[in-house]
Amino acid sequence: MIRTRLFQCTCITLCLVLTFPLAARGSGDNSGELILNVYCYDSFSSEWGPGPSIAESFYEASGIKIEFNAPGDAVTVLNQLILEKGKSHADVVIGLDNSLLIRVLDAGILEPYESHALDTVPSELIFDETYHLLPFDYGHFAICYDSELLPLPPTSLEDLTADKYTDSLVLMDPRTSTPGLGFLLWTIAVYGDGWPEYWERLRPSILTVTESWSQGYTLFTIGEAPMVLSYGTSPVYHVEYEGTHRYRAAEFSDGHIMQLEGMGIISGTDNRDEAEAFIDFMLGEEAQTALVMNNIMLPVNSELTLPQSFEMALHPDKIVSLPDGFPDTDEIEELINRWTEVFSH
Amino acid sequence: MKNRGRQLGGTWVLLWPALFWTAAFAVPLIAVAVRAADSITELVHLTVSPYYRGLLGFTVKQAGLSTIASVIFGLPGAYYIGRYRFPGRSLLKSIATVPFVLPPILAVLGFILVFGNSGLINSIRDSFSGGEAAPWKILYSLQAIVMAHVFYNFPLTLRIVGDAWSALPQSTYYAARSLGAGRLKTLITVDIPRLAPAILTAAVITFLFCFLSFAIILVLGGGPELSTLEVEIYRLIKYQLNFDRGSALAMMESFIALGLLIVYVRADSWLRKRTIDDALNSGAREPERIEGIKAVPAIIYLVPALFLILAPLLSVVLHSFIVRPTRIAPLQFSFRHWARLWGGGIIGGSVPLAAVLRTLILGIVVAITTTLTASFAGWYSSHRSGRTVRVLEAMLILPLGVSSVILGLGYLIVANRIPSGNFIRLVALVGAHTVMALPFAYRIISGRLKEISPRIPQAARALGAGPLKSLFSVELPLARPALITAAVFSMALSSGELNATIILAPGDFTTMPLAIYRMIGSYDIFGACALGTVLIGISIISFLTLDRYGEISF
Repeated sequence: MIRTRLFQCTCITLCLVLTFPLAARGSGDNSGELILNVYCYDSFSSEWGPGPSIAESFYEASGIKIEFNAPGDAVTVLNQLILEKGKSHADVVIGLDNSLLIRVLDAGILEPYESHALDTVPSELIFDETYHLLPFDYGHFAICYDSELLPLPPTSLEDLTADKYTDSLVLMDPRTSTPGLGFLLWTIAVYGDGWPEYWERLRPSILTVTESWSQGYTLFTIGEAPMVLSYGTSPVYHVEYEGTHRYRAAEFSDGHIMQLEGMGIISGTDNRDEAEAFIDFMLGEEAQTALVMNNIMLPVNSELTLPQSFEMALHPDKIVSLPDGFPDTDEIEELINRWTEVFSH
Repeated sequence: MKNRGRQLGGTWVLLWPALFWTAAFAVPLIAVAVRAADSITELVHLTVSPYYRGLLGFTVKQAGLSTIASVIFGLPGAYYIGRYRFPGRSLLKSIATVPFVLPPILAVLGFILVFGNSGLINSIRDSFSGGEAAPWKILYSLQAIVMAHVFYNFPLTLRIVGDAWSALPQSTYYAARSLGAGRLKTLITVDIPRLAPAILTAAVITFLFCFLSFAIILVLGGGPELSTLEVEIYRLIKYQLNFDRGSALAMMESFIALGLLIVYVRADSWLRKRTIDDALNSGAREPERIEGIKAVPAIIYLVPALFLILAPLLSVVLHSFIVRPTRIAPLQFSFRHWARLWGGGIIGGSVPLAAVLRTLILGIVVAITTTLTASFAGWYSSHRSGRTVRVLEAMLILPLGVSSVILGLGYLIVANRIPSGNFIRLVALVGAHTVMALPFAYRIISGRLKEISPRIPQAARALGAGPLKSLFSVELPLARPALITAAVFSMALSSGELNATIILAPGDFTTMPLAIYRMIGSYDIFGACALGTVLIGISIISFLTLDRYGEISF
């Protein structure tokens, strides 16, 4: 009897293993069709991101099928491309931002492409003069706040250090998160060499420093802290999908630092023409609208009319940037070592 | 004579475990090692750096504290689960395993909803003090890290030691009692020494888990001053692409883990040798009922224990059902988050439903492959002794002591070489999950197999059964509770795993943790709570079913 049961178990296992691939919706049955391999960060191609609808409309427009590969966040994508250099399956990469530009250019993984579709993009948004990485959307790092917990938001970085904001701010770790690094660079852009002293003053206001943006924003949404480091466009999500104007982005008189997300063509691709067509498509109205609605970022195409909910997005008067551009890997390592020192005494 | 009986049976059973271990563990690690040729020189450099020594010190300290707290907190629970029958016992076992399944982000969320500055405890306190007092800051400190680790890991002690307790033979117990030993004396002199291997197993696994813990430490620790080697490895590998130094740090971690494992494997076989001399396990002790005065200590323990597990889980469930239009307005019950999950909205179709199905099937497949692999290896080691077995034991538990960042990097490198195609990627995913679950499954199953008196399989063999037949028809059925526990843990680990899944799964193979992670990543935190509720629900049901199956007596 025991043996029968084990036999049954074995049969069930075999059945499960054999039917297992069915649980993944089949693909790869489109032999003969042109397929463009696009590497992107996970939330771009996910069911909740802009990827699927862009791929669909691109297929309708051109007959070229898009296959996404998303091994993690943007940094993971870059790492994979560097590891695969020269023999990558990828044709196009989407989602490497301006903070990664130096590394992208140093790695030599992209081919330049001066797209005619860039005509609709304001020149100050074209962050790579060599045209390896072309912008497709952008935003500003900002402190978002819950207007019901905090009727009077801070108005500058210095203001954040006030006593009334003790334990009120959630930040991200610059060692593990892009916005976290963005905020550190923001304080450097504003305070120059005086940034470590600024962080000393800021420390009492920080409730915690999270690993990722997702964790930090979660703490903020459940009301654990009234302020979080996020994007100037974050309030738009809550208006568009939850119908509430409660969450807002604070405008700082020091100015804001920009994040520009870029895309590019992988060196040595066999599908250069199709890759160019896709990049042009990404800058067109249809894809830009999908990006605005599902990535909750600002479009680079200046001809696009923004939906009503974008009135809640921050349109800062002043933009700051680092005087010498983004630091390279070694400089970032030095900054981060200095940053951890501020916390460890 | 006895030895010859043990030597029968081939080494070929190790083929299957070796295959998994090599493909899903050794190959990715070698792929990293090839790219980190200078890590040995880095290693020397690191050991003299005060910064890294400080990191190491804190890593060991928090893991040690967390382990002690988890074991102490889990032991009474193991006692009640192992020795008593009471209403809700199997439910308690199942619920206690759920934190294991939860992706860390949801566990942290539940934790903050209860213990946070504006969490449940503080709002109760507020309503008494009139909201004047500053919040009671429980989290964002070392104690918060330890609490969260206890929440995550005490089920290990509860289940592993609990199962061992219920399998203790009645003969020695009654012998001690009839010779005049009291309950307490019997507990200390008879039970605890026999449970020592199980307690040691639970402690070692807990320590390694906490040693490599990552997200919990960053969020709940409150700042970068409390950070671990794993955070540093993550940064070096991912942001600096400094494979040499990252691998060197990971090697430091693994050396410590390996050292611990060697001590553990030796201590384990020493402890078992002292207790195995007993003859046949002539039936386990009858479980008792909690009655009268015995209920007092039970309640004193079970109520706070239940609160620690249930409160964070229930807050996740609760938050999927409530909306609060404005701060002053009362909370409202609503299906809004659930409606977003299943009907249209931002998500077309029913992605979550498919995700539930995939997670379940993946979990079951992993549970079966892991249990089978662990059974083969456990059978081998229970019939042999000496150096080969010790090496095998250390190898099988080693995946617990290797940084997940390094393994992830290995998968990233290997993923490019895996021929594309959904089936191959899924097989790779099952392999990765199996290797992760193997250390648990192996410890649990081999521990049980070693307790079976060697005379039983010898009798089977004498009656003409081959080694495989003896394994499948005699030994494994005798170890059924252990097989079930191993399967439960494997399934739980697989159902909550995110890091390997995100790299290895084919593009459209969204599992529950992936869906939760993506929803939180696109602002929909309460939708993620709803999906988390589904995950909690199906985990409880699957564990209950499995446990029930494990307790049917032949």
